[in-house]
Amino acid sequence: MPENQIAFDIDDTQNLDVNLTSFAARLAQLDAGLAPHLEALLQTMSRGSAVDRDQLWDEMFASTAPAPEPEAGEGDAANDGAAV
Amino acid sequence: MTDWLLRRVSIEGFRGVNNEGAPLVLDFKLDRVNSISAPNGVGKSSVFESVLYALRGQISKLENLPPAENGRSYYLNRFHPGGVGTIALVLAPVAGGADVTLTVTRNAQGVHGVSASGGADANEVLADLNQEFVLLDGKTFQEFIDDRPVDRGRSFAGLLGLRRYSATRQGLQSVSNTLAFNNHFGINGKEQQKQTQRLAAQQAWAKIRAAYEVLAGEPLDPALSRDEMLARSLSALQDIPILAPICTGKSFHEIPPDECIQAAKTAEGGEDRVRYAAVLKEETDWRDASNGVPSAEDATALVELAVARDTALAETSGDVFQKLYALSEQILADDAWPDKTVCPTCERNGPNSVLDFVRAKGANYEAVEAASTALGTEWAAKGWGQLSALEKLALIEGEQGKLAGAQTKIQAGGVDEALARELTEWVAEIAKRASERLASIGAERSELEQKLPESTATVVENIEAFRRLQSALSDLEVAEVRLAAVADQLARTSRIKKFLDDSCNVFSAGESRAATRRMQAIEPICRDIFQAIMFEPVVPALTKRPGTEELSISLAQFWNLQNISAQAVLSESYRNAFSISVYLAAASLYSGGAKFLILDDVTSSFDCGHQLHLVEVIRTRFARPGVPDGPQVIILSHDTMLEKLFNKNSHNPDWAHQRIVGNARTAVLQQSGAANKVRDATIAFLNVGRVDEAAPRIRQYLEYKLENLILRLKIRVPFDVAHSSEKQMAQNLIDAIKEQIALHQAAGTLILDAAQVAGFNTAVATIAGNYLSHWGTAQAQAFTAGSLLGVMQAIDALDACFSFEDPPASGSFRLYRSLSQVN
Repeated sequence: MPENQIAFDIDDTQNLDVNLTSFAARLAQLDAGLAPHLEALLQTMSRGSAVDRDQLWDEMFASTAPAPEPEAGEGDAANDGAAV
Repeated sequence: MTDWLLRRVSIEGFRGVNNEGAPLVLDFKLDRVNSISAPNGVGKSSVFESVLYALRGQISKLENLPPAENGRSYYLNRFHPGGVGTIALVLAPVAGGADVTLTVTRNAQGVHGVSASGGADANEVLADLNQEFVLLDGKTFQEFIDDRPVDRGRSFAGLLGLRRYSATRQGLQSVSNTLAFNNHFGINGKEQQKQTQRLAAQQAWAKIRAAYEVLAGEPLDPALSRDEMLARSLSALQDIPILAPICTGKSFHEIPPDECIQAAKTAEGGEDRVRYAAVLKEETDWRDASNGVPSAEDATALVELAVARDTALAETSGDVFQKLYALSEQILADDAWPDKTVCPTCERNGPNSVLDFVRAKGANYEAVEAASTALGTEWAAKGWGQLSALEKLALIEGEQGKLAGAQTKIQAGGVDEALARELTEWVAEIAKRASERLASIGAERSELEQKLPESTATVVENIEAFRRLQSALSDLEVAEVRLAAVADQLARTSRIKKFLDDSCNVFSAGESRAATRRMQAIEPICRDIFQAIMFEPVVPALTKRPGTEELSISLAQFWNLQNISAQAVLSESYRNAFSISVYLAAASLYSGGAKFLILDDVTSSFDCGHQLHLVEVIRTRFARPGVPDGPQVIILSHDTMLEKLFNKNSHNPDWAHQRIVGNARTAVLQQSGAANKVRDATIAFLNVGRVDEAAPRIRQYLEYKLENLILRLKIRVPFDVAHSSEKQMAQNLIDAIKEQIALHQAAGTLILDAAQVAGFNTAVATIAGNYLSHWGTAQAQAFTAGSLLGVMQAIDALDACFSFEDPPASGSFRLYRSLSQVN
């Protein structure tokens, strides 16, 4: 869903934990694959504690790697030869 | 999050509270307004600072002292020998349940320790308690008015109950920081790689088109598939009779070029044909290497970018300063560093924001980064990095190449104007050599073509075209694989960056809307409180600029004027009232975690009338029990007029008042039972031979006992009895009592019997001989523990000299009404 269609509002009747959970749901709408990595750090951020952003970025990058393809068979090799 | 009330504060060895072995214990009523009075210098602010340290781990007043003052060495009480300051907060959950005791310590090395009873997470509870409105003093209110809008807005986030949301936003901003993100993933380098591989593919296609046209005898149709192109090329090759046996049964890629060249060599033509093939290859190599040499305009553009990079670099001060600025920004941007005009390195302050300064300096480094990136992108896009083959061909024996080293410097952002000029001139030089060599080769080729039969020359040309086509296809394949790999990495990082940016933007927008909403809720309450304190037609206003953290303050009404600057026109008392109104309004709506407020001397700028108004606002409109779910308020004050009001209020069921007395050297104690605490501590010190610790406490105890006798017996004293030398005060008090006894004896009205008078004289002789005579001369070394224990007994014996048994034979004694009256 485009970012400009996703809105997060703090519910004044709810506490921080509930509102962060609500925000985590918005994160999943922005990118379900990446959201869990950021969601895991929201409580730490809210306490003003430093987060290891290098680690976060590396984990996110690893999670976006394409799934490994099945091992190439003979037919694939023949196609490779004809492709160029 | 649990909401907490403050049941008790206990302090020992911290700031102005020594209390060795007998901590200052202040108990607070959970369902009343609590007030504490203390004369100046007794330790009232030490109570405030102790709670401040417990909650925030530091006291900015000490942290911000100049280094020479060594402010951190003043956290602990200088007279306490233990080397550890201990603060305990007993917290009661609003919702009921077991109390939790938080114990915070600091040792002489500055090590901060925190623990909690009952298995509670001490740091978690402290984080909940550390709200902006918990500890308020005059300085906080002054800063609120004087702060820049952005600083005020940041502290205001806490007042709106949004501090942890603000911290979350700052965390999100940190992980979406573009410069750090790009550095982490080497985005600029990858973009250059992408450009390089894209250019390599374009150059390979150019070679393919040229070779195909020679080999197939027709221009390459862009619509032709790659397979069809290969098929036609193979067919053209097979049409050459001498190559047919080599090509049969092979795909285009499987045909070995060397075998083709060897076949042509052995077929006919001798040395000229061999030389012709070599000339063709060399000519092709030079042409391929020269293909895409940047133009003179490209050279000018590259130099201009290097000049721009040098200009940006001149505004910076090297890597060490870059680290300094980055660290300074990190410290200054933290809410724990409240005064942004104080430099975190030298701790000096000035009129301007140091945070703005270091951010501007940091921006200069980002400009260098951007200029270097632009230079690198231009380098890759125009193919400056693709000329290594040309350089290799053009080098004269013994000459060193320059492009490999330049490539490394480009990636490191280290190409300046001088190097850019040197490189562009070098490339122009090798391009000139290529041009000259191609002219020479062209002449030789023409000469050979005239010697060889036309068919022979064509065969050689076709074989050479085939070799080039096969090589270019291989280059294309490599470039496409590399391009796909780097494009994939960039796409993945781009996805992550977009997600982080979107997350930050979505959260920031939500936080901003909440801040606006909550501020609008606060403003009318703030105005009501302000009006209830000041009773004048002055109306405060708060304005938050949309999309920013800035909070501006003004006066919507100033008597008959509208929209007036609050900073410009308000007196100190009105400024104070403005700030108090904002803080109380915010706390009434958004207090959480800490359900208590401690106000330290917040009325100093008010006259008596406004003090009364403020206290009434707190009592009736803000604090519990007047407002059942309001905060518990604890007011600290040295003001004697306010103390009278506190004493009056303490007769009401909604108020609890206590007074503390003492000094920083010995002890600060609640006035109730304080004398007994001093007495017990003194005797405890003497019993273990610690005369130096006991001696000043004896003075405190003696003065209290003498003052008590004088007060109770209505003994007249000279008006300056308390104002002459403090070392003489006890003697002055004794002399006053002696004079009154003598006066009543002379008048025949003395109520004391002879034994009591004798007892008084004996006690006084002991006190004077064993203590006062040495104390007055500051000869503390003359004291012994044994003699001072005798002095303590003599002090305690004084009461008996002025008491009678009431009722008779009951064993219960009372002081006489006066020296001439029993009761």
